Amino acid sequence: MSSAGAAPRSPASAASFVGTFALIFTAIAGLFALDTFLADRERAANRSEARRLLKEGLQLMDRGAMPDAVDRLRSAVSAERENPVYQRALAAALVTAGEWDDAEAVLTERLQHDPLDAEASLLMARALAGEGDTRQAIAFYHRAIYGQWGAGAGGGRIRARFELVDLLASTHDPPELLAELLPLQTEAPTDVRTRKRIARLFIAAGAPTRAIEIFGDVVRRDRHDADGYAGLGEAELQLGNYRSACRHFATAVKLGGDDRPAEARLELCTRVLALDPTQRGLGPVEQHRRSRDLLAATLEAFENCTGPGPHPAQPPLADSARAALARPAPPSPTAGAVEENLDLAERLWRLRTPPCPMSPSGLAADLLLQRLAE
Amino acid sequence: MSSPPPPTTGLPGLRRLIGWVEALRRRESQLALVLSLVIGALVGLVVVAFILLTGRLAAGMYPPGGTGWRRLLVPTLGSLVTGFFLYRYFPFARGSGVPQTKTAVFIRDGRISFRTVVGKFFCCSTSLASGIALGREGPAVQIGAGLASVISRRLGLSKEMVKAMVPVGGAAALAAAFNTPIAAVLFSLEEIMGDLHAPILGSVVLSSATSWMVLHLVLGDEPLFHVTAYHLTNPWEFAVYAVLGVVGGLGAVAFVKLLLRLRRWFLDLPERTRWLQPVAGGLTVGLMGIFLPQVLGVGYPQVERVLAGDMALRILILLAVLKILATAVCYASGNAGGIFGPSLFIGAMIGGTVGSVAHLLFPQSTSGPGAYALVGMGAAFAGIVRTPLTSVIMIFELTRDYTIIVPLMISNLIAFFISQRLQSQPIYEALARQDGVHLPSGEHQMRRARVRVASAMRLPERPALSPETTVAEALEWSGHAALDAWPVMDGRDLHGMIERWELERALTQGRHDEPIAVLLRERPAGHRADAAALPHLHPDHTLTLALERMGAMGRNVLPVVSRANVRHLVGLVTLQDVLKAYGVSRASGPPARHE
Repeated sequence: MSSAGAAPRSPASAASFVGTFALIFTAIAGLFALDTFLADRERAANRSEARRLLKEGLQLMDRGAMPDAVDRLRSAVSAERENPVYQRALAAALVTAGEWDDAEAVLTERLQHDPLDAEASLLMARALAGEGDTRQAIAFYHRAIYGQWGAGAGGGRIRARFELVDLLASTHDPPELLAELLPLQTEAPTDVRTRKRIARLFIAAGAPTRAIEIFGDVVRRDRHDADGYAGLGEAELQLGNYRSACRHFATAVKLGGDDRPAEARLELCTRVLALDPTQRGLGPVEQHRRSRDLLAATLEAFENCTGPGPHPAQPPLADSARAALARPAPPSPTAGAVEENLDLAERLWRLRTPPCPMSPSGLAADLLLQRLAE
Repeated sequence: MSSPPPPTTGLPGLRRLIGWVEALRRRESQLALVLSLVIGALVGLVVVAFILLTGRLAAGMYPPGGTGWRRLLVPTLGSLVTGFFLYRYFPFARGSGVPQTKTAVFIRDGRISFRTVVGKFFCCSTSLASGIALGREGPAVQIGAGLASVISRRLGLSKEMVKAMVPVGGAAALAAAFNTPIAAVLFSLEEIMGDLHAPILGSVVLSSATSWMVLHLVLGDEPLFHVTAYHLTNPWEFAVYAVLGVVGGLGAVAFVKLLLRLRRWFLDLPERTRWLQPVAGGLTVGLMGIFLPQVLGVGYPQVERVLAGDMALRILILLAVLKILATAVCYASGNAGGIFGPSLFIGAMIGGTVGSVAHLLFPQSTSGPGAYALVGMGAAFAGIVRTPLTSVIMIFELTRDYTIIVPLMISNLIAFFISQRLQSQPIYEALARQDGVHLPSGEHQMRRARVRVASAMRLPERPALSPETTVAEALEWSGHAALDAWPVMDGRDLHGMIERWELERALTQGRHDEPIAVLLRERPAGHRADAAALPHLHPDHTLTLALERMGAMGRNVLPVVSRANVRHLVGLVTLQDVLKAYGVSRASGPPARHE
């Protein structure tokens, strides 16, 4: 303003000067009132529009029209950006549509605003799990479990914990899985379906005894619960109690009618029983026969597993196994011969590189050798 | 008994207030500061009303579930109605508002009428709400500048002060329209004033900040665009940003050239068609809008979607091309609205396109298209409006993300450079020229300021005159010298400058045997021989300053001396040298002015 001071001018008269300022301040007051009114109208219109879009988006989601649902929900979020309900709905649609990156972007914004938003954390965990980032997904499941839920907090927490244990079960991390299952057992509802689900997860976590407790209680309350018997069979199978397992599976098949999975497990169980040379009451000939059968099944599984290329340890071990199987069975086998077959089978089993396709007998051998190796 | 005292004596507070108002009324510099605050608040509120009213109008014109025919009819009718009003009642409210504001500053003593402000407000609001593919920021600048002009004139401020208040209003308007107070300050200085060191900086900052606060008070802390955090995935991405700068620059040039050509064509049409011309813009955008509604209006929701990376590649390309066409036709045909917003739209689409292609080719090494859309906005803006500094700061303010700065600078400067090369005149200057107005552009002012004395000066002639040289010897020596003044050297030091007329006067006085040192000593105090007091230049001075100094001293030769030692003569610069440096060569000029 340095140049202005020296410029010639004729200042307005005092009345005009004051009058102009009075006019300006009146205009400011009037405009402020008008702007506030218009802004309120704008916000109300945006809210109404956002509600309409949310409703449409959720309906489209229910119908499985995900791109359109995402489109509507995005518009809803744009119309009322700070509303967490819209942000979560959009994120849920994006997760369902498998658009992990976009879902993460929406949820990152939401969680920056409210790091304790448990529902957003759960959605983020789903997005990360979908993307394959299990470590981060587990972290967000924990944030969801310990975060702030709105209405129905308990249900949300349990849902999050169930999803977490499902993820841990799929990643084969028994200790972590067991650590999450123990609190879930006390928090979860006590309906039979939930209890059976938890019991099955205990089997996945390598805690079959806990599963037997739950399934045992379930079948005691309902003697016709085929699923309960199948669960009991599974838990006994893991414990190596093949006879009990077979008995439970047989009951499950009997009660369940056309229960194919139970039938398959019964068949497997029967095979394991037929292969197990360590059962009590077997004579030396039967023991030896079973040890040879076990070795044959292991060799077959080994060859399936190691693939076409030569394994460094394959020639001597596989040759030894083949030689042992080629020898005729002695009329009165010794305990040493049985041990030798079992030792060969176990060494071959350890050299396999799972996962690989297995025949039913290979699967039975695998299960049996797992127990023998413990 | 004494008479009762006048009523005012009983109210010392009121008296003080009257005294303060009176002082304020008479002290223009203080009044200017107060006005900056008042204008900032008033303009902020007016611009917020402008934005909200336009939004409400648009919501009424395009209710949810409207048919495609509405998208053709509404802009056509909107442009027809506003076209008539602009032609009949508000002729100065056509177009953007930025060149009109510059015209007011540089040509009309800062005069913008209240009628233009009102016309701009209502015509623009209607026009933009109807879906015309233009922006609201340029008009907001003219509205703000106009209000500042009206208030300043009503308060009886001097012409200089009225001119100074115009960019103050413009900055306040832009700060509210765009929610970018720093960029608003820079835009006012860089584009409107063409001088980043303008003395009005303080007032511009005050008004911009006040307006921004008003915006936040009414609308809350909502950025114009919501942008997800930017991350550089791979250092090679900078190469993609450079490519984006090239594409953005070429897109900007294409847009500017198309707009100017179309406008020339419309201007050449008969005057009687002027009121109907805007319909061409409305019809064009309406026809496009039937098939692609995203072309309608300012398009910020679409920009937001691109920034979120939520737009298919073919739609991005289509929107970039159609928006260039739609905006060019809408603007050229004389609709009210600016190119500020469309520049950002076009840039976002171009950036989104480049980003999508890059992400398609190198998914592991590049970010999503959103980041490129953001940088593309800056690149297109720098290429179209040619204010690179404003552009960088504006995108930074929009995103509030510092990490975007480096790719932004790369793309912006490349786009700016390409635009400068392929389109000689900046768009606002070119638009004003089409109207017969020759505005000084910031770019030209800066270019002129870059020409230095060092590039124009000549070396002093040797041997030089010494203080002991007599008047007669000096005159004889000067007979074959081409200049009108010569340095007098005391050994290697500059003693002073002696002029031809001084020697000639001494000769007529019969002092031909006197040393010239005596003549230099006889000079009045302001023109002593002392080198420090001698008018001089330094090699890094601008030629503008050289001209100013020559004019002020009435001399056509000035010595160029070292900054480290003013007695060390580096060269001489003459008026002819300066003119030659500006490309004005002449064989002989008018006689030099003497004191």
